[in-house]
Amino acid sequence: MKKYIIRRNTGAVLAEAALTIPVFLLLIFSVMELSRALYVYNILGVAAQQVAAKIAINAKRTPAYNIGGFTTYADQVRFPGAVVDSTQFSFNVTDALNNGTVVNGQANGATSTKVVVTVIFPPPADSSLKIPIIDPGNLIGMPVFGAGGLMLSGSATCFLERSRRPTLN
Amino acid sequence: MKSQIRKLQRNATGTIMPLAITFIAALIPLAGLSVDIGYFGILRSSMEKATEAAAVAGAQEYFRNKADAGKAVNATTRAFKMNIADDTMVGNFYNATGPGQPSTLTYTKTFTQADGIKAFYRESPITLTVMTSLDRGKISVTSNLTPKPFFITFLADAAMISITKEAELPPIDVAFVIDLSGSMRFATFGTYIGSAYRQVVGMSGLGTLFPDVVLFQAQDQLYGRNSMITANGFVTTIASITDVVINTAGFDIPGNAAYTTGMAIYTNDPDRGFITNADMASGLYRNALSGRRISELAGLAIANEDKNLAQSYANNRSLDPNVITNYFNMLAPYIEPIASASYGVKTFIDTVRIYGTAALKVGLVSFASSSYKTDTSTVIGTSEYAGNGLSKRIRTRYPYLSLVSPSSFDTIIQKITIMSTGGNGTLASPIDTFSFSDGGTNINAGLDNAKWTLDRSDRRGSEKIIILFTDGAPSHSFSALGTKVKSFTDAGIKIYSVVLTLAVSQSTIDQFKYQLETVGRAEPVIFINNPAKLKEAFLQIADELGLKLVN
Repeated sequence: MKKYIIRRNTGAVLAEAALTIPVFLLLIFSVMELSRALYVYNILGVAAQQVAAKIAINAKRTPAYNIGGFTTYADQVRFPGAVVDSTQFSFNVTDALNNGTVVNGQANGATSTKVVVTVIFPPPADSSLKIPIIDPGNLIGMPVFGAGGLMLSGSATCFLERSRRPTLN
Repeated sequence: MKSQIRKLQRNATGTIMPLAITFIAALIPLAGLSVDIGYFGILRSSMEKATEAAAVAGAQEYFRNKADAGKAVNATTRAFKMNIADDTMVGNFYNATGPGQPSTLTYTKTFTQADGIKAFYRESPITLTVMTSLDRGKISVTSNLTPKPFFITFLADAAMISITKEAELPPIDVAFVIDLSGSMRFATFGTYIGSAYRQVVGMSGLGTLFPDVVLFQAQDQLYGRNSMITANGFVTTIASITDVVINTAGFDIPGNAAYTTGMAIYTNDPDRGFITNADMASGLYRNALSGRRISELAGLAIANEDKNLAQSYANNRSLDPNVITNYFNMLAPYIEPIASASYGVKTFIDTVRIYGTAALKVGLVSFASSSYKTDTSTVIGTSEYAGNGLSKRIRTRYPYLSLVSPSSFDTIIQKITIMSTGGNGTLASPIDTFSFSDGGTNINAGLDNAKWTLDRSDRRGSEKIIILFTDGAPSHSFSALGTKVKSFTDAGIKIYSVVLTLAVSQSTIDQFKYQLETVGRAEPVIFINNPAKLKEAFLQIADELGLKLVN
C-alpha cells in the first residue's frame, strides 16, 4: 500500500503547483512592488523639486517667510499613487551655508536663504498606499518593512529670493 | 546503436541542466540590466532636480542683481553643486561682471570626486554648462553625466544623461497708470498746512508780497477735505484754490497789490487760480504750478511770473527762521508727488528692463478729470458758483475728461530704450512729459485707458500688469472702482497699486484697500505716506513680478 502511493503520479502536478505558485506569486508581487518603490522614489524627488521651485519663485518675505503657507504650493503638485497629500511635505528654511535653521525668516543680509522640501511616503493620512500593499510577513506577525511599510523620502533644495521688499512707513 | 539512441531519448536525467544554464545565462544579465536601468532613471531624476534648481537660482540672481551675468553664473553653479554635492553654498565659481554685462556668457565646469559629489554618482564626472542671455533675461543650464553602470558596462556611453533647463522672465506687459488729478500737486503740502490751523506763518511787517507766496492747491470746500492759508495768515477751508498768498496776520491784501513784476494781484485773469481775502470778497485767478521742483522751473514752459514767484519764495523762505524755514524744510521732501511718481516709474523701468529687453514692454497712461467739479456743479448750481467766487471758466470745461498721454507700447519702448542705454541714461522719456496735474481723480478712466493699451500688446500669453499710482480717493464712487478692478482681474490682469496717503483720511484708506483687495481681488495695496518712498514701492512691485520657469 505504502509503495503504491509513492509510485503513483496522480495529483503530483497539483502538489507541485501548490508548492511553486506561492513562490511564483511572491516573486511576481515582489517585482511589482519593487517597481512601484522605484517609481515612488523617483516621483518623490520630482515632486519635491517642483514644490521647491514654486516656493523659490513665488514665496515672499512679508516680512518673514510664511512656512506654514508653503503647503499652498504642495497642494499644486500631485502624482497618483505616490504624492496624494500635502501632509507628505515638510519644509525647512535655512541659510545657504547650513549654519542654522531659519524660522520664518532670512538667514542674514549677507547670505541667501534656501528651502529644503522633503516628501515622505507612505502618506501619513493614507496608509493604504504603503509598500507592499500585501505583506506576507503579516502571516507570521512580522511585516517585512514594519507596520507602516517601506518608508521612502525625497528632497530638493532651492534658493529663496533675497527679497528687496522694503519696509514701508 | 539505435537502441542506445532510444535509450538516451528516454533518459530524462540532466535535461533541466541545459535549460537552467540557458535561462540563468539570460536572466543574470537581464537582472543586471534592470538594476542599471533603474539606476540610470534615478540618476536622471536627480540630475533634473539639480539642473532645474540651478536654472531657477540663476534666473533669480540675474533678476535681483541687475543682469550681472557673472553673478548669475556663480549662483547657478552654486545651486547645482548644492544639489549634487555637499548641500552647502561654498565656492566662488565666477566673478561679478557688472550690471547688464556681458550680453551673453557661457561657463562650463566639470564636477569630480574632488568637488565632493555624492557617492550616489559613483565618481562619474558631471559637466555643467551655464549660458546667460540678456535679451530675455534667460538662464540656460545643461548638465551632462556619463553614468557608471553596476553590471552592463558597455551601456555607459549609450546611457549618457544630458539635461537642459531654462529659466527666464515671463513676457510681461506693464501699463503704468499715473494720477494727474489736482490733488496730486500739493496733497502733502495741504496736510501740513492743515495741521497748522490758525497758525500765523506769514512774514513780519508789511513787506513786499512776493516773498511769501506759497504755491498750494486746495479743493472742495463742500466736502471739507483740504485747507489753505488765507491772506490774513489763518488756515481755513475753501474750494479750488491754486495759489495762496501768505501775509502778516490781520493784514488784508490791498486791492492794488502787485507783484514785483508790476502785474496786479487782483486781475480777473481766467488763466489764474483765485486768491481770497479773509472776507472772500475778491479773487485772483491764476494757474498753479505743477509739482516740479523749484530748481526745475527755469526749464519749464510756464509764465515767468510763476517762476519768479516760486523762486522768490525759495530765496526768501528763511525770512522768519522760526516759522517759515522750519515749515518749508519739513515740507520740502514731500512737496511733489508727481515729480516723485516720475522718479519712481523711471526707477522701475531702469531696474526691470535691463533684465531682458524682449521680456518686458511698458506702457504709460495718466489720468485726470474734472468729474468732481461736474458733480459739484450739479449740487450748487451756477448762482452758487458765483456766490462762492468760482471761476466761470471752470464751468465751461464741463463735461471734461482728460486722459493724458495715452501711449502705444512701441512709442514707449522706443523712448525707454533710448533712455536706458547703459543703464540710467538720458531722460528722453515720455514720463517726463507729465502734464500739470489738475482736476478730479477719475481712476476708472485711467484703468480703462490702461486696458486699452494692454489690449494692443502683440504678444499672446504675456502677463498683463497694471500699476496704479494715486492719492487714494476717486472722484467717482468707491464701489465703481471695486467693480472695475474686479472686471480686470477676472480678465487675468494683475493690478498693483501705490497709494499716497498724506492727503486722505483713514476711512478713505480703508475703503481703497477694501475695494481693491476684497472686491477687486487686486494685489495688496502699497500705502505710503511719503512720496520719497515711491521708488521703493515701485521696486517692490518689480520684485514681486518675479520669474517664471519656462521648461
